[in-house]
Amino acid sequence: MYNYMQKCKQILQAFELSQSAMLRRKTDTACQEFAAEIDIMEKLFTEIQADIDNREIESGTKTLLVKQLERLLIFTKELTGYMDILSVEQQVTPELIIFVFERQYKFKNILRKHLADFARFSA
Amino acid sequence: MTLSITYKFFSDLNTFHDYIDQQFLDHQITLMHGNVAAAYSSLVHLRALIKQHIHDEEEYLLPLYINLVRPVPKGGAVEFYRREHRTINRSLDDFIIELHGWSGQEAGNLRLVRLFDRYYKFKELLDHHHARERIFLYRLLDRVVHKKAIAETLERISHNQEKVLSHV
Repeated sequence: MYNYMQKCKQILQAFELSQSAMLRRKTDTACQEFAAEIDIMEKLFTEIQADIDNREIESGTKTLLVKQLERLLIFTKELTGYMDILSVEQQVTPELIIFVFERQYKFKNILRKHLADFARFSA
Repeated sequence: MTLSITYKFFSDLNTFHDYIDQQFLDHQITLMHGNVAAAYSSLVHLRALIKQHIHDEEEYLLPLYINLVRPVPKGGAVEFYRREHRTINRSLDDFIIELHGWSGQEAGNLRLVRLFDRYYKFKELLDHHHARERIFLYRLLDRVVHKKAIAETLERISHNQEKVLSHV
């Protein structure tokens, strides 16, 4: 469990480096870094979802964590879609970058909330 | 986007909100291009415009609202407007302080990411506040304030805005 949280935090840090590249309009770098992180993230979320499902946890808590993970997995697909658009140079505008950045901000928030809940329930 | 200061109704002040949103986006884009000095002055200018707007609302609109709007809707309590105004002012001051020390190298590290995270929260606050004013403050004042008083109040507001705009 500790390992899961540590990995998520490392991914968040790497994710922000990708955001930083994106804000500097180095979208190629941002897309590559993002793809590398999102791939690990999706696998981690799927693994931990199965793990939580099989654990003896109070049902309300289990539902909350599973729902959060479902939402995060859907969100990763949405963000991947945006990065696909950003990977085509002609489509990139500063407004689009800011829009994507702000969707990523929401994702980071949901992930941080999930990690806080996860830490609380597995303490 | 240019600001057309021809307000006939309080609801026309929504165009000022749209202008603010666009100016803030332009400020972010300038910052993304690494032009810190230009971004800083655009933010200083934006703060002056918003502060004037908040001052005008508190000085002219809220007293009318307190005296004339009955019943006050739950989402339109005067304290909500004032509280959000305080938060908006404080946030703008904080952003100016933050940007003041920037040299232009910050785009290469995570400071820009952190700042844009804060900007997003600020834009959400603005959006929420503007919705409250659009739905309650402006709409209800348009219904209850006499036409002549609307015209006089909006003239004062336009005059104040023009004064701030002329300092650009």
